[in-house]
Amino acid sequence: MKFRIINRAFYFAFLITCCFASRISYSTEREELKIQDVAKEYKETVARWDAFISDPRNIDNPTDSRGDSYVNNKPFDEIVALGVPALEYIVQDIESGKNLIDFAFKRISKKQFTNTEMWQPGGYDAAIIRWWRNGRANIKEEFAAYYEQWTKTPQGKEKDTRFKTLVGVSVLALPYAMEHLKEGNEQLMPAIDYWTDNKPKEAFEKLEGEEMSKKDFYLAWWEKNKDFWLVPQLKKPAESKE
Amino acid sequence: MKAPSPNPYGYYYPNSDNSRTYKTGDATPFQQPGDYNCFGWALGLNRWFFPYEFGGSGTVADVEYYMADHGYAEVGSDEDWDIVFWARPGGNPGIQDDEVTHAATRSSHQPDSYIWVESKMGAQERIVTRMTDLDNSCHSYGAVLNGNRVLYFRLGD
Repeated sequence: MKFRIINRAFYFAFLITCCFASRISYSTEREELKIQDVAKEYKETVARWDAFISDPRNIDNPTDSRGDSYVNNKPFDEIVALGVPALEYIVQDIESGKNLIDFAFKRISKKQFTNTEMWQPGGYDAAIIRWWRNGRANIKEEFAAYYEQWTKTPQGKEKDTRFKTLVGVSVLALPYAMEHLKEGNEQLMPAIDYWTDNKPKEAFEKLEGEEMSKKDFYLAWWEKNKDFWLVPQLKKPAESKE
Repeated sequence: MKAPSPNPYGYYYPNSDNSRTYKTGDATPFQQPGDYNCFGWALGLNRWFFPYEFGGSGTVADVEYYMADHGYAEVGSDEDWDIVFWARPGGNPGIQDDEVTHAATRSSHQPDSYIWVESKMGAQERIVTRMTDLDNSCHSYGAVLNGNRVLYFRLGD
């Protein structure tokens, strides 16, 4: 009997702690998705999308060559919502020749390829595969170089272009932007907003009654959610040699 | 060339006429290897070619840049051309930011005084039809699909 009372007291104490800890919410629902479940969830979500677009009643324009009629729908949004952890599975599908799934890659990764990269044989899909399997190993250096170019450029149209190039290195540069933020440099907060589809920004705007700077909130958000946004880094060719 | 097939596009292409629409290629299995669209057909790539592969978001300006880079010369509508593009308004004034929506090649089948073109209709069939039949396609609720013809190109010598 005594044991049951203690057990119940412990349970209530645990519940109260949980409630208190969740007063400030740094997370968004998708980020809580267990990484190990992504492969299964990706497969199921893509199957739902396939079924949706296989029904002609769901396609606004069956003669659409831009692809909008197939990707502007809720099932496709659900694929995109799987976020960064789904990128590997998307690339696998691209490698197997699945069409239009590269729209999801584009929307999640925010990777912007140059014309030179895209205009090689195989086009956009081949550029994705090359980058995902090899090119992204250099992302840290690319980010640093583009960041330097951007900061050195005076305000104006050219600076805006430099910013587009900077964020075009993809969402995988998010940890490096967070490093800048940790050091007190808040210049890259718009880039963080862009890469994350405003996830920390929206969470910060919902914050009520708490004294916290935007910078500190973003850093706390990152600590809470970074596992969702990180992908295993590729070894550079030189590093992978025995 | 196959006999005229029922034209399923009348709903979207108000100018089209079943009696003068010819199927030259089957619909391609969607999302499968071998699938191709109008851009892929017109550029001779025979794969699904995304409009943003022109660069940017697939605007008229992007297409002009891409085609020049790939050996095509932009020409007028009354000149000898190989490929024609349609575009819909992109929101900004002028046509440079308009989004390309469809492309066709000039067909070898020219039975009358009209210009006939051949094009792949998204994932649907490849057809030969009068060029003007593909103009101003729209949804029943009025949204522009293909818009107007905006660009003509000739493959360089």
